[in-house]
Amino acid sequence: MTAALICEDLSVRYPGGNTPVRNVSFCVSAGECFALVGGSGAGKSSIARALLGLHGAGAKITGALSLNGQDMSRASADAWRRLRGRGVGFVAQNPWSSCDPLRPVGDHVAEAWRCHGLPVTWQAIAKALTALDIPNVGSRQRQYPHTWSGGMLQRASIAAASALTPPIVIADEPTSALDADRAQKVLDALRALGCAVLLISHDMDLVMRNADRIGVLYQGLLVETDTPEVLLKAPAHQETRRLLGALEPLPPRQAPANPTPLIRLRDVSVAYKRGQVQALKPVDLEVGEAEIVGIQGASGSGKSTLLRLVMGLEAPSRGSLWRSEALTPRGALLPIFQDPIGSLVPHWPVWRSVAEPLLAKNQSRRPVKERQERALEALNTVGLGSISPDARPSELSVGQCQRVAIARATITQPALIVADEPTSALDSVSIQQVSKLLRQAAEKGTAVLLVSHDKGFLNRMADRTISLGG
Amino acid sequence: MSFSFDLTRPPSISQRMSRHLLGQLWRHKSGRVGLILGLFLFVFAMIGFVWTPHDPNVPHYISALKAPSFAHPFGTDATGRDMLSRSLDGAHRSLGAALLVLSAVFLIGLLIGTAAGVIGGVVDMLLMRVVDIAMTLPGLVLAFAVLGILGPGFVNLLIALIIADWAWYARLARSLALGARSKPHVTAAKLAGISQWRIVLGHIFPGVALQLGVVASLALGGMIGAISGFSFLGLGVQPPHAEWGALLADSRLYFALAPWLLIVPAGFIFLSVLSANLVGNALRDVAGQETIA
Repeated sequence: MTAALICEDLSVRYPGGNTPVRNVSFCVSAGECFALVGGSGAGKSSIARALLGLHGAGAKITGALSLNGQDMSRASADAWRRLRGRGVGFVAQNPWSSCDPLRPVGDHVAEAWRCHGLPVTWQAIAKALTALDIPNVGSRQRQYPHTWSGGMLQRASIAAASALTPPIVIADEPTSALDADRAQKVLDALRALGCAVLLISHDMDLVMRNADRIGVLYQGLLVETDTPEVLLKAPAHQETRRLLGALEPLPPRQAPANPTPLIRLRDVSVAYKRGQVQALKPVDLEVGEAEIVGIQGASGSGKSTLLRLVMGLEAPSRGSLWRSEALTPRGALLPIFQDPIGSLVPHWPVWRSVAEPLLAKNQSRRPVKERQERALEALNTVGLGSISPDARPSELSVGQCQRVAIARATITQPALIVADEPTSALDSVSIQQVSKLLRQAAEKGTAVLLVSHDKGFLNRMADRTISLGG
Repeated sequence: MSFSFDLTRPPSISQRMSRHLLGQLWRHKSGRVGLILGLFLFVFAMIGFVWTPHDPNVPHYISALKAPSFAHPFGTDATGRDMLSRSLDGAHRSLGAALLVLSAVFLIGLLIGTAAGVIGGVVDMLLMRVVDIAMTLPGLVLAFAVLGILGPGFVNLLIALIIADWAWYARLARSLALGARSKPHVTAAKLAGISQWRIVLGHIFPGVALQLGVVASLALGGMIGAISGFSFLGLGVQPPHAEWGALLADSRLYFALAPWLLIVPAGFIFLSVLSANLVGNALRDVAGQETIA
């Protein structure tokens, strides 16, 4: 069997001395799906760029690199341009941002031929799209990218990447913008191409199910390479064990029986512009003490509007909304947001953000020292005891910021926490940590209202789930 | 496993400096160059304020248009006045005036803009209409008009420049405040029951001030240029007092004969603009993704 890609002692060094990839060697055989996994900053994307000749003029690449038997170690920009599309395909992370919003989807697929000066027909495009299970190709390829769903658009990107049947396709986090079901469909489409696939991902679950072999990257080094079965049974490196931690199931949970209701919405709907725009269709919702309730819905189904209703930032147009006494005091309901960095004050040390709820009008006044101590305690409980409490949010990772936000939301033990897509910006390891922390909060008696587009996540987390829209 | 912190141990100086804005600017390569340059100009202006080697204003016709020498390192002008003394004497007017005008428009803009953005409603509407009126007239024309009413003079020039410029800062501060008001951390604070004052002072004001400060620092170069320009036209500093722009204006008849008359004040203006832009750019970098400038 020939190797589609051989990479020997590959190092990438950027101007300024940053070396994100150090002496990485691996090979991908024809037809094989090889996955590179690692946390953020492990060097995954730098490798992908180096393998496509897109590392930029300033970056210095050392080591041997061969694609389909062709030595590309010292290839010119021109040679790379000829190779891309024919010798190696590329599928980018976010399908929407990798498509020009002003051109129809069919155009993007056609470009695969056009940029090599090859003639292309609509039939060829339609054939490529149909092969990846896209329905009504005739009319759909004339639509614009924003009207397509992420999963379908990503499959169109795959059609474009594989149009000239390259022996290997490099996919850099191809599913991070998608939920689990759609992600699997995209991966199936990739595997169905029959060519070698270099899959770059932080999602261990997905990689375990789809890759033939897995390479674990840690701080620019390839620390372990093996089949999924072996890695799962006997992970050798601590980074592998850390990544595999995301696959551990959450501990079983006993939903509270007959909880005292905290908030009750009956037939509540919201409309704007004198009823012309229906932001939220009539919905019933009840959240009881210490319950975890999930709200699932696609974008535009009114998830955020419902949350604003619950938070009291908006009033319903119709229906009745009842709150229990426990929710009346200020600070009894605290939020967790989708954007963890934006939810912390950028110029404050994190302890100050965490301790902020202690400054509420109805809280007794505490000296700075006591607030600091309480903040440290809260940071400890979310597993951030090792970071400096004086750190600014910009010095932390996204996952750490979200844990700081959870520390803030739980410091006063509120009656209800409202979490709006709390995991959508996080990698799978951080998702696992955040899930555990929300569970812990519920066990201490705080109800959690969890909003997400990800059904699988809600199924794992929530005692019951309500679907919006549809 | 549990971790604990030694709260009694204060952070070291280097830790404090690393988070302090000035410390961050110092660690920024071009920011450091800008700060050193700015410090040099500041010291230069301070020296000129208290001492000059020769009297900057008294003519000395015998030594007119002397090339740079040991006695006169920057040469002399058409009436024999020492150019080093005049540059020293003019430094505090040029730099001080630019800083004064910018601080004033920064403060006025920050207060009015943040108030409009945070309070909203009728207050916002009224304040923004005033801003609209101020912005309909081009800045230079407005400054000329004010100077026409008040008459030429250095203090009047500063007043004119403040009147011409404040509205832009107010408008920018308002939009920054509006943006900050809808940030998740503000919503979180509101729900936690934090008072409106605390939210404005702790969450909104510092962010707006920092970003507005970046814009203002980048405008310092332009402001020195504007003041020099007005002095060049004779509307700013009045003779015999020195100011870099006025020195430049005086040089135009003689610069073929005595190029140092042009090079010296132009060089100082260039260095000030360079310093301000380097610090402004560094400030934008260290302020991170939060800035718009």
